[in-house]
Amino acid sequence: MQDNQVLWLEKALQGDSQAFTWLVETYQRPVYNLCYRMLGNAEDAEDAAQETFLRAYKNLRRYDANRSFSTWLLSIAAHYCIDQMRRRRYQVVSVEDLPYADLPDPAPGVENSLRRKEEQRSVRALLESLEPTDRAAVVMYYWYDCSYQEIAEALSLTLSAVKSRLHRARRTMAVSWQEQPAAQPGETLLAERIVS
Amino acid sequence: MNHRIYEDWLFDYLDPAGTMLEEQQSADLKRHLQTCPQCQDLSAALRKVEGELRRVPQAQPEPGFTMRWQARLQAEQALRHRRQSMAGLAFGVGIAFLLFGSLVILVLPWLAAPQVLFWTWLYRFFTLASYVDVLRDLLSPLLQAAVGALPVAGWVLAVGLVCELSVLWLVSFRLATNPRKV
Repeated sequence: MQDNQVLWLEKALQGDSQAFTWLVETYQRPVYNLCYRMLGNAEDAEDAAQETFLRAYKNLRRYDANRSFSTWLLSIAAHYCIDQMRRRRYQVVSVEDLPYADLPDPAPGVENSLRRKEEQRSVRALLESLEPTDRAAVVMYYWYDCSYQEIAEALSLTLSAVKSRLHRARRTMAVSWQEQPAAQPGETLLAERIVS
Repeated sequence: MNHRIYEDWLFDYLDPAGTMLEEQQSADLKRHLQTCPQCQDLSAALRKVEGELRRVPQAQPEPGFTMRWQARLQAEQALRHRRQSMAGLAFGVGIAFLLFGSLVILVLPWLAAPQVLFWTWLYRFFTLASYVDVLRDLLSPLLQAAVGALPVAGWVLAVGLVCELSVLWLVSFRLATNPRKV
């Protein structure tokens, strides 16, 4: 964490609301990204990210300064998203029905835009094959390079549980990838790279 | 053939944060991958998935996220304040109804015979007046002694202290009950 962020955090802990607003400005992207990867659409992600910061603001006094602030925020976001996903468990929504062009596209050009949309769709389909807690662990591992220990703390799990959940998630995603028709050709070449 | 053990090794092999495989296990895995198309496909799919996950950048919210958050916080605080006010009002109204109901229950039987009520309250008033008279006779020597015991400056100091404590209590109460603003 940078020095000015430490300062803002200290001020926010002393009740300075403007300092907390700077923290929102700083951490909006990682929190939003986690919510987006968990919930799968921009509208729900915005709502969840806003709710995450509200909860963090209300419970700031409970924050343990010895822990990473970003991990604490991601923990709140992950728990909130897991709850939301469990609530809507019975509302069956296909990945094809969800709008996938709802993120602002930073790359101009038709080709770039199409490629990015295809990547987003593909990643969303992969993540959708996972159960909520596994999905949170995968997002924290691949997007934020969180260690097993940090994921365990954020998701209130043991280290071995994190490892086994990531293990299971990788297997599920690999199988899901194999079932996609476009993913088949050329895969064995990659396996050869491991062997060599 | 049991592929499960090789699959487990494969996941560990590809995960830098996972359990390190022993040399023998790595060699066995490599040998198995050379001959087993099923595990080759799995490892290729896993590599593809990991590449895909690492390639996609972080999603970012629409511009103005912080301002929307501030507006939401203010709306939430206003709503909570309104709810607290409504709860306070409901509590006050409830207490008022309770007191009024109790009063009605007490007064109703007396309304049937008002002259009894009049004489009863008159009797109570005179009884209370006699008690006050007795109390005054008892306390007046004590008060006179107390006034004499403390100099005028002492009384000024005591009254000043009580006033300061009252102001301190009021300020603390306001600080403790006022919501934080952004």
